[in-house]
Amino acid sequence: MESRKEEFEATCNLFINSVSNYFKHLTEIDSDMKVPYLKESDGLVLKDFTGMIGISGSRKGFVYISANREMFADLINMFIGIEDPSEEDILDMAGEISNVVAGNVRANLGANFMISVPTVFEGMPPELNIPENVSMYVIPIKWNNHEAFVVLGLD
Amino acid sequence: MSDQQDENKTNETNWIINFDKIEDSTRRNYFSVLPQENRLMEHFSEAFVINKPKGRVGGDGFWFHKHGEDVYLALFTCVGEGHLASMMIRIYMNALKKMVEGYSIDFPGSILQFLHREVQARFKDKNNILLNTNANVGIVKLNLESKEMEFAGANMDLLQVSKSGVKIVEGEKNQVGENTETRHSYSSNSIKDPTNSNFYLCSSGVFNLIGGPDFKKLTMPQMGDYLQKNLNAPLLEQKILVEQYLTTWTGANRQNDDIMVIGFKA
Repeated sequence: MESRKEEFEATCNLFINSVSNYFKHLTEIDSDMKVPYLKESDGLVLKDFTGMIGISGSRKGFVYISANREMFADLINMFIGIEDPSEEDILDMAGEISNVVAGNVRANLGANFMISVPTVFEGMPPELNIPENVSMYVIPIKWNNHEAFVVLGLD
Repeated sequence: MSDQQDENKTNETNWIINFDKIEDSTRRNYFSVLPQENRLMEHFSEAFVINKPKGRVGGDGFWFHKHGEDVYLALFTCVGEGHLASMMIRIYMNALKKMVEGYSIDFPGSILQFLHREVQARFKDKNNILLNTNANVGIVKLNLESKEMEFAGANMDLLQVSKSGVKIVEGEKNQVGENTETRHSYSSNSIKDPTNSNFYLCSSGVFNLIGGPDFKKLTMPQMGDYLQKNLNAPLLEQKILVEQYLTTWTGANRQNDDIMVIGFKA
């Protein structure tokens, strides 16, 4: 039986690989994963726009992908050809990438886990409360000169 | 709009975060870009809208416009689903506004023709995009005074249900917005004596629902027969009945596509 640490690392890797594959296969531009770190202080590491997915089952937690407008705008231009995206387009792009990542992870996590539909938001919603006992693992990613965060939080 | 899909009720699972308290901005945007059901009810003698995207957002949309005594109602199903299709909803919505409100194009067939050219032109040089730009569109024009009514469809038909039976007013087979060089033309169908009928526009997702006694896709004639059985029910009551019918048809199967049905009386 896997230890909790191994399970945590395996779950992290699933999300890292899914995000990495998304960029590699759909944009043909590799993403560069920076040194991940455990976040110990309160609060979340957030960029402007975020897609967050809940994890439930044998471990509970969440994972989110957060990036600034410019990164999502580049993806929209690449995927859809819109050069002047609206804020609604940016939010939909954040939802799209979260959905694809969630779908890929859902297919690989096994029966002990459940993944929620992504929730997309701008900034930090006041209603978003993170329990104190959650460990957060921050994975900074650089793609096409944009920085994004993939953050995994598990209880 | 209060339509919610079970998949969106994240509180059924014990998540560590209460997602129901956090508003999903894309869902809010999707519903806010569409007209309110009340707006249709103000101008048609009766009307309803059923809108059930498969996920938080969907690729089905509708547009409504009143100009003088003429009202225009269009339902469009953007190919694909989810957030990318939701982006296309806004593109189609803006293109329809431009055609009718901006350029005053007023025949349903002509609107589809120009809509096709507008979308085609917008994506003409975008060769590597991941998005499907085409859509099924049905558009109705009704003069509120004379009750003259016209319909044009791009891979979408209009259901006309009356005491004398169910009639499928057929649209053209070509979708709007396909990025091909094939010539598209759309004709307007004149609807005779529309005041004695109920009319329904359905997104393609309705006829992708698998279920029923033989585990098959729902067909338009089956939908028409069901609607005719309930012909005398007020349309708001029919809305509930149609929702129940679609749920019963699907049974234990998951909703596999976005669903939109618009019913109205001239």
